[in-house]
Amino acid sequence: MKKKPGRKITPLSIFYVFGASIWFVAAAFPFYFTLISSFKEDPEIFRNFIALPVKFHFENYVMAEKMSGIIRATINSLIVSIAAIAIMIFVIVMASYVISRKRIPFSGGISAFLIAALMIPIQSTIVPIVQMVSAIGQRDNLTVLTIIYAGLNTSLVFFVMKNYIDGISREIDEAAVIDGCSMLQLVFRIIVPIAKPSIATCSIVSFLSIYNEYPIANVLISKQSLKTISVALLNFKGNFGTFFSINFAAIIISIIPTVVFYILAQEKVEKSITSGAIKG
Amino acid sequence: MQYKLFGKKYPVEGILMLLPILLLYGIVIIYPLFNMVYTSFFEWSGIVSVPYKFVGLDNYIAFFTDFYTMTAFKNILILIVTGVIFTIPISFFLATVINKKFFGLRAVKTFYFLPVVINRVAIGLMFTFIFFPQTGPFPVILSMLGIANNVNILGNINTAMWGVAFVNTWNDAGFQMIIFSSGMASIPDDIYEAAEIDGVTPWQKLIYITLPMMKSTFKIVLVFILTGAFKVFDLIMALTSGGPGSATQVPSTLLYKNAFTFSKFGYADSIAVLTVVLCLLITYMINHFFRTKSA
Repeated sequence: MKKKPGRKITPLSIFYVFGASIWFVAAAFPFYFTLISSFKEDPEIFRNFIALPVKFHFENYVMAEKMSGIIRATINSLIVSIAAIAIMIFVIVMASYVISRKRIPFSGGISAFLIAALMIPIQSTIVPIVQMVSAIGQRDNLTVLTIIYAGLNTSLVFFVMKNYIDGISREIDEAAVIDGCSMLQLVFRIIVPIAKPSIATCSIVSFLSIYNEYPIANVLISKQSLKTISVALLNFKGNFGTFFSINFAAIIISIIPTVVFYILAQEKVEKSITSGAIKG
Repeated sequence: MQYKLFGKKYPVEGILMLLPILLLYGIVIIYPLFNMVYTSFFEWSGIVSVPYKFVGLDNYIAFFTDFYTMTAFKNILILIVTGVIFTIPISFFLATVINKKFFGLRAVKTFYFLPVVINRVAIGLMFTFIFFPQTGPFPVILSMLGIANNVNILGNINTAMWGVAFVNTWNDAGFQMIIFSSGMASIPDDIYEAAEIDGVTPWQKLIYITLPMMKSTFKIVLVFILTGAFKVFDLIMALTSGGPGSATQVPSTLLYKNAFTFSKFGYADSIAVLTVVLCLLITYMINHFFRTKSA
């Protein structure tokens, strides 16, 4: 499969194909195993890891939802992620424009200030964040969680966005100003459409990190109906760890959104993660 | 509307448009960071009405004398070592695979990369079943190969952390692969063409062209592997929650446990401060090392 036509078969190329295939199997097997097991009956799972289920037990999925509200949690996570990204993009695009075009005193200093947290592992601030939220008595509040998520990736997103806006020609701004555009209109009517690729990159990177976030949500959210996906999933293991097939069904439900998202926009997701990583 | 500062005119809207992000960033990042450093010098139970008790450097001293600290750093070391000797070669190899053109490339690349976009908790849970004592796929394969019988990888103090490191490598390889791959793609083709005319073997190409040209990529990957080891949290919580005993504790899980189980907030914050300082130091050292080497 991986051999180019007309190329000689050498021990090296055999080793190469072998290595590539091994990792392919190693990477794909856990997903395959989880998927087939989610349709099996418990005793059947460990009897044969490779065979398809004798009978497809779709009721495992119904049970997973009934026992832990895993679908509810998935929806919560999706809503929180999308809202957080919307807020984040809205405030950061405005700020990036203002700073990029030096429409504010000390723009260099403010820019450095906003990028300062880039190298700091943000998870380490979890204790003070939880402290702060508890102090205002707003645990179990998804709006508060959304706002925290909106701010967590500030440094990276601002950095990527400002670089992109720096590269947009100023002549476009000037033309818009002559036409009587206010600065706010200018940003949302002119800059945002041009900066779409950069907005997409930032949204993708942030979506994956916010949707999958676990530690902060785990401490802040304890009400069943408000749980996000990571929290619901891990509680599931604690409460119903011995119901194997239902566990597998819960795992599959929880990973569907990101897998679909990735498969729909593969190239873009890969590029975004690369550029997010290398710039950060 | 405009205002003047140092003889320059600025529009008022500029300030209004900057204000939201400054507020958000201040509340979510900057204030917690300062609060973290501040609290790390106090003893505090996390109850708002209880006042802070100043203890100076006691929290830091406690950390270095804590019984679990040694385990936590040993485990970080395991993650780093497996990252360097397994994740880097594997992901480099995978990058060379996906930079070729062959039938089925898309499918192969998808599965290589898929672990990166998946929830770490879900991955951890998947692997608790793969490692399932005796009857799980991993122990069964081991006994089929005659390596070991009836192993309980995550339940054994001696093997649990290696199990975590294995999953971490599995999880991380796709991410490093995509970074290596973009580094490889940025090497101009004409260099290889020139080398081919000179009759260079594939092996020489790798040693004398690809590797030296990818120095900055290696630097990035190394920073990710070393600082990434400190960020492994979700995986451990899902796989072992730090157990058995304290065999798979790392600084991030210790921090979490001390804060939210034992209510030792000052102590937890001192762990956080040390983690941040260590990560910055590692990043600085790697950058410094690569700079002096290239000079």
